Amino acid sequence: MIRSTWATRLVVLLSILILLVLWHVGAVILDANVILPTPTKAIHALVELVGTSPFSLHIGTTVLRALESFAIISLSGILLGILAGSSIYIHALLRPFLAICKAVPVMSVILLAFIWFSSGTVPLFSAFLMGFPVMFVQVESGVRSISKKLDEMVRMYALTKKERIFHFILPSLAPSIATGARSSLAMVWKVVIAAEVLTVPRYGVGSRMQMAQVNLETAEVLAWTLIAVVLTVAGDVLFDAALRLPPWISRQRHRKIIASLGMDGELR
Amino acid sequence: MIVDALCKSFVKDGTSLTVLDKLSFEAPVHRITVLMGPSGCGKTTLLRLVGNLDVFDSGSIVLDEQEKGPVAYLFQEPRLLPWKTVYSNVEIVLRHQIVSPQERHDRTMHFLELVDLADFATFKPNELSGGMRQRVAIARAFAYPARLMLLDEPFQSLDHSLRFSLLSAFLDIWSREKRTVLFVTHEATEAVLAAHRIVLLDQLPARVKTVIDIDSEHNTRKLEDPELVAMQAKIYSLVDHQT
Repeated sequence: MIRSTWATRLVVLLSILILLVLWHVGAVILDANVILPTPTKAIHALVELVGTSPFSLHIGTTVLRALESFAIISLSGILLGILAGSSIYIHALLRPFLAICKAVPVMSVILLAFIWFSSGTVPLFSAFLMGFPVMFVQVESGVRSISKKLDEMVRMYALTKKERIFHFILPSLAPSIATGARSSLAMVWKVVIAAEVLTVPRYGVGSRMQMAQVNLETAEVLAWTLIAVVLTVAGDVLFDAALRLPPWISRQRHRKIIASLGMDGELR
Repeated sequence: MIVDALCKSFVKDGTSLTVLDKLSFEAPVHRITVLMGPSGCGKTTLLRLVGNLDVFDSGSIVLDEQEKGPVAYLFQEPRLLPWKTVYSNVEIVLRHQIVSPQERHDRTMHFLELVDLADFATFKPNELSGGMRQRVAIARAFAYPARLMLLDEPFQSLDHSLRFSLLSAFLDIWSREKRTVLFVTHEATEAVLAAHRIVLLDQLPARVKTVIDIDSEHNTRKLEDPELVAMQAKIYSLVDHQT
């Protein structure tokens, strides 16, 4: 990962500023609120939205849908990825399903799902079909690249099944799982909101976006878009924080063990 | 350990390759037996068979009562778990061998001290040099309560002086806790310094060509000793004839 310094942060800030200025200049030139309102108008719309009563319910429902599909994708992707990585038959069995998932356009998945399921289920189903291959492929290739030499060592020193899973297999897969989770999480937000736009369930960011668009409330569409962006960024930030948790816990545990056994030496 | 008429062949692309053909030799209990021979003559295969990493076709490997039980293996590379500290890399292999955490900790630290790495217990493998990593592997192999130890050219990738300091560290720990050791190497100097018995193997399929016994204690052996110099020359000439 690229480390951010104060200088890079400054560049990021500058870049955001340039985008806002471009937006503003464009809006002033066009001078048509229906086509492109100014950033200030969009922010105004956003502030107004925050005041309306089921605001948190719309956001909460969308977040819940995204997290739910993310959890389903992670569990099934890791489990089936491990199975497919260890058996060429399971890999072959899942290949057609995976090829379909990758090739079918998001919109046809959403439209078909809307014929089959209720509007609240469609975002979950569509997000699963879109996000699952990402996670699955990462985990499967992770399993295939587990070091044969370390595996031999682990067998030679007769580690138990539990030790093998927790101290060898899962740590070996951790980078692939993290990459898969990061990409599928980013995808889940987009698909969930897209499905909400098309199916308009009672609550949801996408539903509100669709309503605003129908009423030609462009500022409100932009406000909801800003919310979607904030949600995605917040998801990324929280995800990165969560990634730092397991090494932190293991360091604490290690420190405790060493302290309890009276060993000195600073822990790095 | 008595290896008797051991046979092993591999089938690749439809053709069968015989690696071991009725190989027989004896490795004395609680002694170091060095296996030498041209590369690709089946030494690693032999170690894998003894260590149960592979199955032989026929013949037998008979272990003495004092050699039965867990087997420790020292590979060409350290093979440490990169996400674990030096300490955990040693401690993890003891988890289900030694139940008491205190005893496990003491044993781990004892062997880390013997390889002079106690101060590096909390380091990760990628923070150590190649020689230090191999010393962790030595500590792990010795800490593991094995009766039998298999060494597959463990010092091969290291430079000359490191090689000898690790070898002497190895012999030092061995003299405190004696086990039966099978030691595969290409270096005649390593062989004459470490071995109680040197088994020279022939070209594929491996057969025993010569067996040389060395009776003197390790700490009395000096490389400039005429007897050892002569022995090295003999080993080189025997290996040279084969290639």
